[in-house]
Amino acid sequence: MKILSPIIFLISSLNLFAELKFDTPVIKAEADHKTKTITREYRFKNISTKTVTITQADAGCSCLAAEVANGKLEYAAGEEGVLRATFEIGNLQGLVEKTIHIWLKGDAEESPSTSVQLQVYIPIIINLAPKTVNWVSGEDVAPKLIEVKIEHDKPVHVTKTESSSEMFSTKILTVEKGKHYQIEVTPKGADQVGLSIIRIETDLDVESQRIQQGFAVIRKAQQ
Amino acid sequence: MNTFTQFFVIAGISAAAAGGTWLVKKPSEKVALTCDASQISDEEICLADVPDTALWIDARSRAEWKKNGLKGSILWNMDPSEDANRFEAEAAAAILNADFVIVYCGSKACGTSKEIAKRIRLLNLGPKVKSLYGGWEAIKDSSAVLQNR
Repeated sequence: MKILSPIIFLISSLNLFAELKFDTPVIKAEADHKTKTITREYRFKNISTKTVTITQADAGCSCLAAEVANGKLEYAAGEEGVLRATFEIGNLQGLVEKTIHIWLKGDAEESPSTSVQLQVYIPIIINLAPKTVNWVSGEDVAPKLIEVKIEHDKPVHVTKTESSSEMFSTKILTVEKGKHYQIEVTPKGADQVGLSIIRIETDLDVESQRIQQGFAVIRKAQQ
Repeated sequence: MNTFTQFFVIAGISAAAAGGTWLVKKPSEKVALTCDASQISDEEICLADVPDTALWIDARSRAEWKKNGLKGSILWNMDPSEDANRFEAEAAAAILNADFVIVYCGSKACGTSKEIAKRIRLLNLGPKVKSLYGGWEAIKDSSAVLQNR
């Protein structure tokens, strides 16, 4: 037993070559507008010479849950497993890149052993450009346009627009019905500075993107 | 083997194991968190370089923000249960009046701060926008920042 104690201690201490190798550490996924969640699996293998224990897999975002399939956390040398990532789209749009960090037993809190990445592209059905229209106090108050372009499999109409502040008025201009609109934003005067939210309502059947918003700003003139 | 010898054998093995781990797995991130501005991306900033007047955006969960978010910070995260339009609208006025915006999330590893910083830049409201290298891990170790909370 006297000889055995240090040997047991040595075995439990040595976590030197623990390593999981993932077949595809970066997975790209594309959502369609009806998708609410995306699940992808990362296959891995313990390529070290000893058993490793996964203690945590975390993406640092409540939008992405990571779990080891079947709840199995210990992997013998050469054993394979699956990490499952479930991404909740919510009202996110565009390209979202999330990294999942994997901690093995013995890892410092700040130093996960390895990581994998999920890149999700969520289609932007309604694209606003520019997102913000700007004026300078005391200068010309000519109207400015926010372009509203629609990329969808059926027509989407801008049904209403309004400014959160009385400093601006808004008007919907139709360029191509169901496909392309312009929101004309006009300051009622440029003698004050401020910001207004330009709310743009549509009849899009995707709830998370149905209401859009831009901004109108009158800035102080540079001294 | 007597107790004394056994103690030294265990201590020796422990030291060897610790040294080996240090060599193979590298020092912990606590050391790596020493931020070198020349080694980080243009989108990031070291805590030491954050201007005093910067507006802080907390990209962690609402619960974490409520628990210990920096004084004056604004919540804006990617939680699917939150309203992204509302975050954007609530932050816009403060961002417009700021000359520097710093976004932080839970750690160097989390990545959400970069996503939020990207969204703020797209608003084109004027100020410089950076994500904090090390995130909350850097802040919690800084007495200077925490004193202002």
